[in-house]
Amino acid sequence: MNEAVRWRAVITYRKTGRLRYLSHLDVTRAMERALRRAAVRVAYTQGYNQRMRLSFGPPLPVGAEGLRELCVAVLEERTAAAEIVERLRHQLPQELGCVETTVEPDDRQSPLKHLRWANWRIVVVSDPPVPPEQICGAVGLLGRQATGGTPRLEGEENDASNRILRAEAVVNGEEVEILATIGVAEDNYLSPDKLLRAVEARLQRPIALRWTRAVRVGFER
Amino acid sequence: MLPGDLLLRVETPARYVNGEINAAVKPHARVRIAFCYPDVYQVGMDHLGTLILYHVANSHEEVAVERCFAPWPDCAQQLRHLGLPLSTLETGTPLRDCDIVGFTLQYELTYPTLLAMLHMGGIPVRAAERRGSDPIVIAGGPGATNPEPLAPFIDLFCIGDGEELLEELLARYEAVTDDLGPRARWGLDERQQALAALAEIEGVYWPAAYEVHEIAGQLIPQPGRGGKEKIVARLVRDLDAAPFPTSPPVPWVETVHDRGQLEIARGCTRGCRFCHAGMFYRPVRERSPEILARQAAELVDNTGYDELSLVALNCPDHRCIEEVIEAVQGAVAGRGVSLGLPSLRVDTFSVDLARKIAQVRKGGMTFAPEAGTQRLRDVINKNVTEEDLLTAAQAAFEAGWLTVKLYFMIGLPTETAEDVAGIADLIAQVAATGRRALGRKAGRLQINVSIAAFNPKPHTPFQWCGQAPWEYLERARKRLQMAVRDRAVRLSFHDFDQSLVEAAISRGDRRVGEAIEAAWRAGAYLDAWSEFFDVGRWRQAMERTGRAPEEWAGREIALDAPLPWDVIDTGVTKEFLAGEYEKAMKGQATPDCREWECHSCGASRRVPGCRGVIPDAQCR
Ligand code: SF4
Repeated sequence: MNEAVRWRAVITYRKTGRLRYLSHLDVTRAMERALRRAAVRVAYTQGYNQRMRLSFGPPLPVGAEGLRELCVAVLEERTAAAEIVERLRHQLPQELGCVETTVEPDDRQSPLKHLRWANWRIVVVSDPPVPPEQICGAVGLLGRQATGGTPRLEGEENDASNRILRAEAVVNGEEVEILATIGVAEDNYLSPDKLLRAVEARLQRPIALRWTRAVRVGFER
Repeated sequence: MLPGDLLLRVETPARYVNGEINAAVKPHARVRIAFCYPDVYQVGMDHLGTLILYHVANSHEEVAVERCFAPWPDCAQQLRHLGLPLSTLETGTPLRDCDIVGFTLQYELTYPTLLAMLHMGGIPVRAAERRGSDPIVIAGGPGATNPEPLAPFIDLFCIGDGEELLEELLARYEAVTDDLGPRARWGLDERQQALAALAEIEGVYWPAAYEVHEIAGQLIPQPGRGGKEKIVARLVRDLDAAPFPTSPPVPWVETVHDRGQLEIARGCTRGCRFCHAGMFYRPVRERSPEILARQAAELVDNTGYDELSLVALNCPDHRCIEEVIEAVQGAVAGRGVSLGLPSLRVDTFSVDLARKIAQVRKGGMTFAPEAGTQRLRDVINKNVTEEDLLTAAQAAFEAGWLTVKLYFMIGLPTETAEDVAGIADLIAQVAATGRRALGRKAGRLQINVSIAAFNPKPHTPFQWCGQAPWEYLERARKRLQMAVRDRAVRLSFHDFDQSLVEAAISRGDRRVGEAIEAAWRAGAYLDAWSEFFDVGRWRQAMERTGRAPEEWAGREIALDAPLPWDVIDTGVTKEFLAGEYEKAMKGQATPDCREWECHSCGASRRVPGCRGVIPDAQCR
């Protein structure tokens, strides 16, 4: 392999528990500081204000959890993935811990490119309360896989449907859990909040939905 | 703190979640102390004094110090709504269940927030209403040098440097609980005994042990049983030997400054006559480059910060500043860490230092000439000439800075229209210098000018002077706005109403405490934030004192009148301050004693043979 090729670490981490309240910026700062504490030799940008060469996957909203979030760090020197995992283990709390790390040449396409869809598990409550089945029904009408007979929506809600690949809902005791695959790329991004607005629009009753737990489980291309 | 799903309903919930790297969690400690900062997390987490004391106390195994900040109003409302008490971050212990609850007094407008935090934490706001088993409420910091406005609410004030004092306080507290049993079982008698024992420590003021008498229109505390004649501020002599936090908690959310801090020196002897810190923290104490290099490396290892700020009242005054910078830079080389020097003098040496450390230029280079004419600069003893400012500004522009920040005050003692016009002149000259130096880049020149009202502070040579009336300040503001028409100059003025209340509190006596409580009861909270500050509320609250805020802030006090804060001996004598006041009125400057001769400020009473700085050996 060409000696000049840089290496990069693809760090898969979680954002869970009480640390789900961190914003995307908080997470990027925390990760940069953890890498510096761990003395992982990450490369720096050139110039006056040198920054670590880090890139992150799509932002996760404040309060939402992520089980397989992505951070790519360009390395100053080739470092074994196991060593990075081990060093980071001491520098990050469990709730923001590293799930796995791979080290690969930096001349390949970035794993962050072409991430188009994210799989979500979203627990919702409604105000006023409605039978969970109604919510499930409304969710079933969303997304590209929803078949004929779906009433067409105007404007934003219709646009939201294009950003939903799959959506279904299950009743879990009192709770309704939505399992959805929604867009994360620049041209199809949809937040869990916007997903719920789309469900509300399908309910055809003035009902406010909010999520009490939202977990981004992973990504699809 | 708040249960999980409620955190979803408050702004910036991450500030309430705890679990930061390096936070000390000790669920089984014998003594639990809450260190409260009467402002929000993002402000309080930058406070170096709190971080130092957090480190000092937590190095005792048996002691847990936990942090508590003022919740943002949305969160405070949720706590009220749910009937939850304000609690510490680390273990979620309600303030009322802590042994000691401490506050730092950095700014007078935070005082109503302090009362609110006590109340939210389930502690009676008035010291006299506390039960035996309630926590002991202490306060320290610069505001404690006039403790009287908060005397009704605080059990004990700690005056001066806190490191050694806190150690002694902890040891004495443990001894007291050995004698009297655990605090939770104390009655009022035990509480009195405990307070009396703690008040014996040097530097501790127990306001309940003083009676106040009205003399010349002011309530003056006089010692009763258990009260000392004078409370002598504590002084840490050897900064190298003093404990320093190299693994402070690293905030999850972005704080105002958000970087590691290295205290390179404490104190200043330049003698600016308006400056509280420059009188209170004397003599100067310096840390040596070797110690700082070690601390810098540890700080980066333990926090991962990408920026370290060298902290002192005046960084370039450190006699080994070049060695300090070299040593610190060497210690963190190759780790992507930049250095910052936030406090600079008005001279080319400072610009040179900033250039050497490649201080980020976007923020601008800051100079504080404070007054517009040489005459007035001599009055306030700001030993900076117009030439100093212009050469320093030129050096900054030549070194690549496009933005310069200037700090001025208006309403200074003896100020005339000519002095105000002098500010506009000086700004114009800096602008002209900038345009000349920047040449083709002159279009990008920016001069940000920040103008504040002079605030007379206790324990300074100007403690006897009144604050200028609002109408005067407004006139001066308008005059400056008319006079400065340059598009490259941005003028900003501090809120004069806030300055008025700040001065009224800082020069107040115990009656002002009534006003602070009334303001809090009327809703004053986070008043340092202009969006929450309401001067009308304060006017009404001040009626309780029988005086308008203008009377407290603006009154001229006779030099021989006793002062409510005379009970505190900061180290500098009242005679020295009076002498400085008289020299000010004659327009005479007093040079820095480090470079000149001793002016007998009083510091030598504690530091025999004082030469203005410890250690007084020259740099290599
Ligand atoms: S005692 Fe003299 S040398 Fe020491 S700080 Fe005061 S004026 Fe300076």
